[in-house]
Amino acid sequence: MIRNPAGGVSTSAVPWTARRVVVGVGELAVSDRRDEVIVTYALGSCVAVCLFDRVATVAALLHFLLPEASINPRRALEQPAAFGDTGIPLLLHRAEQYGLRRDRASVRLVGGAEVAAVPSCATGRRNVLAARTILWREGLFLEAQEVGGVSARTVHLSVGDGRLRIFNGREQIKEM
Amino acid sequence: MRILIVDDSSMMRALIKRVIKLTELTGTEVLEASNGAEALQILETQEVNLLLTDVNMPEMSGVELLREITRRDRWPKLVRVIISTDGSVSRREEAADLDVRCYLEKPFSPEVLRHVLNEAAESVHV
Amino acid sequence: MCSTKLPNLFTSEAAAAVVGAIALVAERSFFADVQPCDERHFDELASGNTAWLVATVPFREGDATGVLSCSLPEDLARKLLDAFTGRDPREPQPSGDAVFDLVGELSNMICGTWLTTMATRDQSFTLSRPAVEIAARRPDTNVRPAARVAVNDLPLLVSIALDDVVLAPAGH
Repeated sequence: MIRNPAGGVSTSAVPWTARRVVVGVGELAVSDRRDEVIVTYALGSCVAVCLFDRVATVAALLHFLLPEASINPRRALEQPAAFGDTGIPLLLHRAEQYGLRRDRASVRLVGGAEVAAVPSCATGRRNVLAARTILWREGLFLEAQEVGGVSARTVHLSVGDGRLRIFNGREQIKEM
Repeated sequence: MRILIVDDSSMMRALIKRVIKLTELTGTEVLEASNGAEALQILETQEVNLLLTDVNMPEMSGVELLREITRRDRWPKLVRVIISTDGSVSRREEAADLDVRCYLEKPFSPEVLRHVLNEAAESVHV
Repeated sequence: MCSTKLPNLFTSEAAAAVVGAIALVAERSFFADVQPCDERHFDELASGNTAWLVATVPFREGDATGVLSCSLPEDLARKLLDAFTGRDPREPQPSGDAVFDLVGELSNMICGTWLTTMATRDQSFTLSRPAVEIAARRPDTNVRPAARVAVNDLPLLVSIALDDVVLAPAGH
């Protein structure tokens, strides 16, 4: 799924004038509509890669599940956005089609928590490090991140101004 | 602007070059040396604005290089940055005495290096 | 005579400091995950046929001198090189010299980070240029190392020897 415009459902976190674009697990979205907010939920060990070009007014968000496509090559063919090493280049490619430029893009990461059920796998940590690896390979610097911990997060990325709001449940915990 | 990277590790020099290329430092020329003696030869023949030097190198260390630069007193506007694994207080104090603008401790991320480069570049008067 | 500044290397505190140094270097400069592992797990990870590289870094800190050795398989070295430089896998493979250089720099950073965290912060130290070579065989895990870790699920071993020091591993 590349772009998934949802209905204009308003929540307390999203202004009533904004259209919400929901990104699910293993999906990504790109938007150049100032009235849109890209939203992704339940970032546990998953990582959201958030791009924003202020000049072109383009925002993009990837919600990936695992670090490398080699973990499940069949799934990677069907759903490249599920993996960091295939999803991030895809996100960049799509965002550049909308006019985003790498030398202007801000990059922020959210997620990578350690899910209590399987603490020894360190999937969240691996996902964050994989994202850092791919971003550096793509020649991008990380501007900010809100990663680790044990709690799931929700992310709202405003296309109009690049504001990134991070929630734990209904409570906003950070704005970047 | 002309930057001189002094490090006996070609991989470290490659990393620094890449960060320079990807930063906002447009129109920058990058020179390289693998030790302090080579660096001095370059300084004698080319105008360099910003020097990034490792500390532990063969033939002439980064500290020896900086002491020699200070002694010769021919490059007063040269902005100096040390890159070192040694984070000890005494090493940092030694660097301060050598008119070092920034002290970058290894290991560092590309973002930290970019920040140091931008900060040092602001001190450069081309 | 044991340095008054560097610790008995076989204490759990010292071992943890080595692992901590490896983890800090790996994460910050190579974006790699480090997990300590026991001998059995390390043997499983090291069971492949790939060549091993070993780097030795002589150091001096105050009155103490010693050598840190870092051993890792070549495939891990190449992956770390890619991560460090941001190399695209589609680019031509780097030369052997580049890989050796990277292993030397990795070991240099591990040694420096360990010395900075374990030694007195007032005392500076000196590292000599690392020497890197292809190991004749994979590291002998019968000799107790300072740290056995998995770096992105590949084995890496660090040993540290202090000169003129007679040490007994804890529990022996």
